[in-house]
Amino acid sequence: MKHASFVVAVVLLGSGCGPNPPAPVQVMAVAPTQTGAYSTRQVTLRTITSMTALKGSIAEFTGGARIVFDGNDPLQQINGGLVGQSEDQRFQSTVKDKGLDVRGNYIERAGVLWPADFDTWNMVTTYYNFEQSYAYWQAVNTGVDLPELQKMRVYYWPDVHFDSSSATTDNALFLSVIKSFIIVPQGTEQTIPLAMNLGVIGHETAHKVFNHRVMNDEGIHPALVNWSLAPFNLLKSIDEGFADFHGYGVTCASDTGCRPQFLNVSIADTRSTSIRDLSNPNACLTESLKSSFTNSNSATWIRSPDLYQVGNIFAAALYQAGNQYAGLAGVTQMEHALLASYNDPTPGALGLSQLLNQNIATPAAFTPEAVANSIAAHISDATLRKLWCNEISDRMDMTTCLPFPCPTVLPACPTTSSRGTVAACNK
Amino acid sequence: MRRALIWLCLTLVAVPAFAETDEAIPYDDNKGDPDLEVGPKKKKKIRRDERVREDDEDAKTRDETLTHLDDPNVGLGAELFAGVMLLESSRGAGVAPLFSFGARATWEFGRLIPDEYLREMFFADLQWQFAQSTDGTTEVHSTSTQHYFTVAPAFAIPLGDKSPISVYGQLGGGLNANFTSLIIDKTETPITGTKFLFQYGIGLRGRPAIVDDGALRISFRFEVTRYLRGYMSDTFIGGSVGVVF
Repeated sequence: MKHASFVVAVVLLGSGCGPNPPAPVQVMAVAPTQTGAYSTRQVTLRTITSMTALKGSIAEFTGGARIVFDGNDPLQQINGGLVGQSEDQRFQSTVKDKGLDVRGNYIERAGVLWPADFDTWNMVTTYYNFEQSYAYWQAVNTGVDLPELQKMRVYYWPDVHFDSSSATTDNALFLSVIKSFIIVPQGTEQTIPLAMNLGVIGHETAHKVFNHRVMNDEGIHPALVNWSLAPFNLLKSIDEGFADFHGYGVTCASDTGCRPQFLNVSIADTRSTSIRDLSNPNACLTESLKSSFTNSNSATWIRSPDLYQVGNIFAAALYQAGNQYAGLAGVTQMEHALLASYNDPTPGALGLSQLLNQNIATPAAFTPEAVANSIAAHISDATLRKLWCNEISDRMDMTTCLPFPCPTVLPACPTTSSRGTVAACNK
Repeated sequence: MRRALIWLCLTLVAVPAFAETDEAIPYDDNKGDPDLEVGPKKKKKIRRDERVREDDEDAKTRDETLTHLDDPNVGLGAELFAGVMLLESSRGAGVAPLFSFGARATWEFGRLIPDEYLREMFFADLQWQFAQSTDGTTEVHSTSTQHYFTVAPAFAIPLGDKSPISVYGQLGGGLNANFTSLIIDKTETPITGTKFLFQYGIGLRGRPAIVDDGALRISFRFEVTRYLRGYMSDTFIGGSVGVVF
């Protein structure tokens, strides 16, 4: 018997088996406390199947990949470039090194796994954040599973280049082109790592849901290729703004509670975080911002903070309307309404996907008013709908809808809604 | 009846002996073979050969018992070593190169074997090795310290007769002690753990004498050692220097 145990031990040692207890697994992670400060905390991973490889039904991690976007790469020029390539071709031509399984390193104490190095702390916390994000989405989707958020591919610490010899650092992204999340290495940022920030992972999962439901799960949607100026800028801005709004919603599950400024702990530059504060009462489309929104070309817009600022106007309007209506419960209703508006073929209450895809050839029809109307059409409560219409019309300065409300442009807005309720935008 | 049988047997055995008293009758097919000639001259030669053989065996025995005079040290040594530890990365690909150092005591237990050749072939190390990694941001970072405690016997093959240089292979085991701290905004969360450690490696070992009688030698090594700590694999590439007395 002793010999058998020894043989088993040697075989296990040789096979490189790690600690892979069945879910739920008790593990230590980094999470915010009630005071908002981050601390180590015991959490439960409910969907994990391999603690060593950080793989489970929600996310699957891969380490050491190399992802390169290079317009001069012959592989990326096939079929006229990435736009003309199939999903698999894009993946093969950009993911130069597919990477390997990560190797979480743990110390076990009384049935709880403790990460034994920084990367394992970071990965475990990231997986936990993906699980928390999924729980949020499932709740917002009225308890129904979201297939697009199953087995999410997560590249941990990859070497990523965007038409540059310098590797990208200090970011967490959802790359629709390869349908993957990437957690790039830390660079100069010395704060709470982005992947440890629950709101950031919530934000990234929101991009995936938007891409799947609004943009037909296409790696490169035709609108992003064919559109320019305001329609293009609006599409990119609402993608970011809605992701911030849902990212905020995901933070409500933490001990700290909802954090409308969830980016602050991870990005030291307050100029970039303040323009994304959901609770900012002064989020308005100023004249200069309107000019930039209307006139910036695609290349300029995607590098401009204005992209986030316009997105923030939508996010702030969603937040303020819900908050005015019933506090957190009102905001939660807005989260449901927003998700419901992503894809709905019902005549008279068309979703954003329908609005987008039916107007590929007529981008001028994709306007802030049309987007606002689609959302309004999915708010069941009339008072909340009115508040939304009030907020968004003032904050986005919807001058095409005057006198307000205008049934031709915003038919979903009730006649009781009115302009001028957001004092900060009517100075 | 029984007595008669024994007598018969003895009689039959004795028949050739009686014949020996007459002239020797060699077999035909041994004719001309000087080795098998058993005349008086030959008997002298055999006795001489036996003496030489006995002398050789005596010399060998004497050599074995005197090998310690050629290399009189007792085979205990100590070394300090340093190099690069290629720590398996949790990130899934590649390794994290770290400066690593340690100390070891060596017992050349092959010296217990009298054979001149075999006594150079076996030694064992008792060693401790250290490596430390730090990673993260100013606000959230961790320090992870690895201590490797192992006992590892080795088998060495000298590069030539009485060469002080040998190549060796080593296999051993021990414990890995891992001390990790995660620091978040100056608040430290420490955790310590141990894992079974399996070690194997190869290297080049030298032990040239530094005094005439060889009682004190310096020792040095160039080595590649692999550690399996649980399911993680680390590789050490380095060198060492020390003394053997």
